[in-house]
Amino acid sequence: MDAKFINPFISATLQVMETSAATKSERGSLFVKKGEGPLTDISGVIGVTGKFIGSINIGFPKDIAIKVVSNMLGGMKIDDIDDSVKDGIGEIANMVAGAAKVQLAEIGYTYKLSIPTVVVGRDHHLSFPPNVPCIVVPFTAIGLGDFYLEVALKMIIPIED
Amino acid sequence: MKFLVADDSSTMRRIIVNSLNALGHTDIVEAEDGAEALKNTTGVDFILTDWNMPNMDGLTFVKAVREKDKKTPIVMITTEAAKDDVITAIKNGVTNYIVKPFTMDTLKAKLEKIIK
Ligand SMILES: [Mg+2]
Repeated sequence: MDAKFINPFISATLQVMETSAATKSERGSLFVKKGEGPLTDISGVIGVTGKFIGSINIGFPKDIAIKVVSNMLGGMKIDDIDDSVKDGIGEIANMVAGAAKVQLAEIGYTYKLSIPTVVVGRDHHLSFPPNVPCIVVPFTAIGLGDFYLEVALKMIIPIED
Repeated sequence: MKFLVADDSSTMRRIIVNSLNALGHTDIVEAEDGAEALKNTTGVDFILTDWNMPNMDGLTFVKAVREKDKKTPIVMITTEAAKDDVITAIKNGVTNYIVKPFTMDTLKAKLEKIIK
């Protein structure tokens, strides 16, 4: 998958984390997912249909997920992965896919977003259809630790490049 | 002044409600999707709605409201900010647009301006 399709998701993730969750992050080196990929405790997943099909997944360890949602709610105290954390991580995924959508629409690639789903479970990993390539982008939330963005998209309309 | 806040995310509803409260508005009805919002428009002076929601999305909800009510201000609060989406929303009767993500402070400032 061309970098021009991944970069909007990376900048969207940085922007959403900083703006809505007051969490500055740095991106690491992306890689193609083979096998299980990174393990996380909670993931927000958005399905995508249009010129691409596939899904966007943003996965967090428990502590970071709690901190992120607490920050979204202005510093509200949260002790565990409860309904508010699940909902908040789903909305983070929604905003990342939405902000990337705006950037991709500008270069002519439009898609529709599904309603977010949230997967919770200690050290889970998500699998994608084998014919859809999945790019993993690791991020470090400064002072908090690592989380992951997974972009698994397949182009429907061939591109002349 | 009575507000209707429609968003499928309870986190987002809480952020919006907190911002309204901070501006001194406490008469607020919440809805989880467009269908629930449509049942709760009676007596509402101001509508704040998400776009991407299950059952009935925000745009469908706005169209349904505008069939009978051309006046009540409707603010779309959404990630759907591609140029065509904004144009579609405004053509269908949305009066103001707030793009997610935002900080609580910017949301409050924008709402304050719009409500005046
Ligand atoms: Mg939504």
